[in-house]
Amino acid sequence: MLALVRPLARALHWAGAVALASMMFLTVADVVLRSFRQPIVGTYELVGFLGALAIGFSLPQTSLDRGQVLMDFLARHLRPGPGRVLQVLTRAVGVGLFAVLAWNLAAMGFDLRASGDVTPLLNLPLWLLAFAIALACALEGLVLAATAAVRTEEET
Amino acid sequence: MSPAEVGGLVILLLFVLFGLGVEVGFAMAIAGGTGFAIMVNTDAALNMMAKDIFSVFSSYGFTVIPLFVLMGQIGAVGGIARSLYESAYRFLGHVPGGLAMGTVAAATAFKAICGSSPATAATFATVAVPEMERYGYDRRLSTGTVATVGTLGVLIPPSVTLIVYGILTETSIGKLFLAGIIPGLMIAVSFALTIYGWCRLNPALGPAGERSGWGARLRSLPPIFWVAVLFLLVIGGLMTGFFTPTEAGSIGSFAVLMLTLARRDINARQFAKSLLDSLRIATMVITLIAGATIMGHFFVVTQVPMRVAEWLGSLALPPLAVMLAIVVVYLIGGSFIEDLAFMILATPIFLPVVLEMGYDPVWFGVIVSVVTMIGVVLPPVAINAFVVSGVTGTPVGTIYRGIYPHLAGMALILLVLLLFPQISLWLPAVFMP
Repeated sequence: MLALVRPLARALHWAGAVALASMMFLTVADVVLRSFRQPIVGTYELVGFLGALAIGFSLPQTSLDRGQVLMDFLARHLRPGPGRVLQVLTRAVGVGLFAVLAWNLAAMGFDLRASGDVTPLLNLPLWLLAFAIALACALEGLVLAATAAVRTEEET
Repeated sequence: MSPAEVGGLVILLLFVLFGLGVEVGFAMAIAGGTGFAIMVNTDAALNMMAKDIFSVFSSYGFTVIPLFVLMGQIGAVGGIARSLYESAYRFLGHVPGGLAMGTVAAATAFKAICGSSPATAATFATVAVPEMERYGYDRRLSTGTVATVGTLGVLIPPSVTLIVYGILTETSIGKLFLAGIIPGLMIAVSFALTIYGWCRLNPALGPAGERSGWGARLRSLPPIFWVAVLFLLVIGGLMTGFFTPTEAGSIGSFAVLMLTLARRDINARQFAKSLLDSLRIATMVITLIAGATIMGHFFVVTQVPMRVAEWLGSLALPPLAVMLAIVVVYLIGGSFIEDLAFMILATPIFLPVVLEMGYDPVWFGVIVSVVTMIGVVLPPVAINAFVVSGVTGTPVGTIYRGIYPHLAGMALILLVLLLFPQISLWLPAVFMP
């Protein structure tokens, strides 16, 4: 399972990097053009949209790289057996959280599509963003499940 | 169950999850969502959690975080820290302990473009420790200094901690940046004085290096000039209202990219690495904020912060005693949980108390940042010590022994800032009245 989720997480992380670079270049272009009274219409909306993709899509890789903040006093002081049980337990808690989030974000996406909610200037469909974040949460859940039984040093 | 009882149980659940090793951001989301479900209902809680994740991830306001982190990451991979160290070394290398003092000076300048504390510690561990090693510096002094100077990024703008505090408390990021400058410089001076005093007492700790001629010194100055220009561009744009914080982060990142490209210090692969690394850090921070937002909605229904404020008010203690108690809570909390995470968790609880006592939220932001600075190098969860240990292969215990002398100066300045809020508030009052 880890062999399946690892390339997916990496691909999403790279997509997030493209989104972040686009945010930077778009904002700089807008600031420069604004000085000539030619601002790029909808920059604010696009940057918010790209920001959501950049962060959401980086979530699985950040977990794979053990980049989230956690306290591991207990895990460090346990013998390998109980330590493994604790890791499975904590990952199961995370899988549960992200399963719930993915499900509810997808439901939110369906609601937004039904209501036709879009951003005010560029008419960007908000359901698309909800589905994108739901997808990232689902993959995050899979990453946590895939790494539940793997020793820490094998994860990255 | 009364709201106070549910509040107590949820906080207990939160700490159990922390103790088990559940990621801090995830634990806040789970505990907050569970509490909300008990207080309202399960459907409302699930709906609220999804909406909070959606709104935090897609908020334009939060895009400031990855962009300012990117600015520092490009600066770090682009060799700006090394150039600044080279310059500081030319001026101070010949003084006993001068290479360590040069590290403080270079890190202070580098902080003007890099807001991440561990990134600075890692960068200077790579750049400065081998140089100090070459001149026979004691490992306690070299690694302790490098770990400690990394904390300057918590206070000197563009600090990620101040940005997150500003977003959480709806306080002007421009004012917070200005408020951090004088206290940040005071702490930098305290680091240099500590090194000077330590080396006077024990000259073997930091032997003098070679003296550089004035030609070499002047030739080393351009990087300092460019960093000053970048700093003025970003902070000036924010202060005058020409840029939003997100725009300031974009312009700063772009300008650092152009500078490093012009110096041929960065290539496509390194730029990609800085993007990926920035996203890893920003995702960690924004996940914490998303968890804290869910927790915050639970606090709203139980009114936990208001009850804490009422309780502290009922003790009829002098405001300074209450502030000291809050500082102690942050220090203890930050000693067990990562400091930024604890700041994100605790600030919504304590801010109403601070406002109730008539203090300025900008000043409280500075106090919280100084406490976070101390926490970043205070055992047992001293992230910078772990980072420097990882980079240099020095035992963490040796690094701690190099950090302890600096803690006294930091604590003293914290006390001064608590007693004299005008030190922090003077620059915002002058430039952003």
